Amino acid sequence: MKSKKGAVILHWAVFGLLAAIGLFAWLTYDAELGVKVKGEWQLDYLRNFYIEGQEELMQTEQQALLVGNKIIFSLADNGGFTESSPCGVEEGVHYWNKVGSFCFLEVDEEIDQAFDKAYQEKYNSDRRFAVSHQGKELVGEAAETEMISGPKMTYNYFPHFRANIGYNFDEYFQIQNDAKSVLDLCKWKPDLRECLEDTKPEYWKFTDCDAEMYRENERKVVFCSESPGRYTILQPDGSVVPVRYTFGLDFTTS
Amino acid sequence: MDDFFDLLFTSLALFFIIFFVQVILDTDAETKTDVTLSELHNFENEVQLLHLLDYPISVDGKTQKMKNIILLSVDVHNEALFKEKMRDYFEKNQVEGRIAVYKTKDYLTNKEPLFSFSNVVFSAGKVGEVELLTGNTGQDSITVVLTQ
Repeated sequence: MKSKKGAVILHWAVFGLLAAIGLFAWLTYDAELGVKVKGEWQLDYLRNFYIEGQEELMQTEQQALLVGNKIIFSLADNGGFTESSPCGVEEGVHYWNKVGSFCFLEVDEEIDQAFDKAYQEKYNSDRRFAVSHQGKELVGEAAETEMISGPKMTYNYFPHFRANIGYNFDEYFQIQNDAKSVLDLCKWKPDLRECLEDTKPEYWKFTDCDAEMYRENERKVVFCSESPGRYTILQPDGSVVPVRYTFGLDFTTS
Repeated sequence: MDDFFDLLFTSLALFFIIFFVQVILDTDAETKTDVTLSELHNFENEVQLLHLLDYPISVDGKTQKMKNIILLSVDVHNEALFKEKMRDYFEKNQVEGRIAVYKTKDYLTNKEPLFSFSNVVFSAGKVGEVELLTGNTGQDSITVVLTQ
């Protein structure tokens, strides 16, 4: 009798156990089992945020390179100034001196302004960078972060850039130093042309680099300077254009 | 006698339940590990494309990044330059696959690429694509696609 009762309990226990397993399987049919895909979140982050961010940075660097190539020429045409030279502008030529003072360039300030202007014009973007140069590289520090948003996370990064433009803005220091020496040597000379021909650096031409012609207007002379470092810039159409600087010097003494 | 069979039946039932659960869990873990490895492989391939585009390469004595060589090749229609530099990269970095450059709008409409280079007969599938801005026409762009 005892054995019969025990067998009934055991039968019900086994039945209960199987029913419980069945119920568990049914309820967890759609649910994830204990094993999950390893690194799912991390891989999602890497592919959709990190890689995406890297691609965006690449685009930014590309934009900086294109804009950088453009401002090399716009600055060189204007004697290194983005806006008007404080020493005056005559017939589109920016002067580097006026009586009693020399307008030394703040090269990185001019680069920053020129870059900002050209970048806004080309890309119509509200991004702002503090741009300077280090050797042949243009370095841009972004003012604000960019954000990539997803359903579960956001990724913030600064779109800083460092673009190798193959040109060094330090050339302005050399040309301005030469200009200062030429001014000091020639401003008191009555025959200005003779003095300039004797003292100006070889890479300077009068008025135009391709068609040199001496022109003097009230002891003001316009110069075209070839790049002392012989820099040339590769254009998108494959042509190679030499860098040339245009500026004016005023040799009046009072 | 009944108790003995009950015990045997219970033991067998539990054994099979545990056995099947173990098989299911193991299979599931294996499948999910494969998913992880496949995702990791895709990520490595995308990194490979970024590496290619940032790779420094010398042209006429000037060091430039590969992405600029690609843009230059497209702008001046110089397929020979593109193929030469890609061959250099694929050989030096022991990469096998195909790289193709499309105008972005052509890529979106499944047209033929502007240039392509391949060192394999068949490639399994796309592993990464990156859009690059060209200098010629302002905002126009090209898309570089790597398949392996």
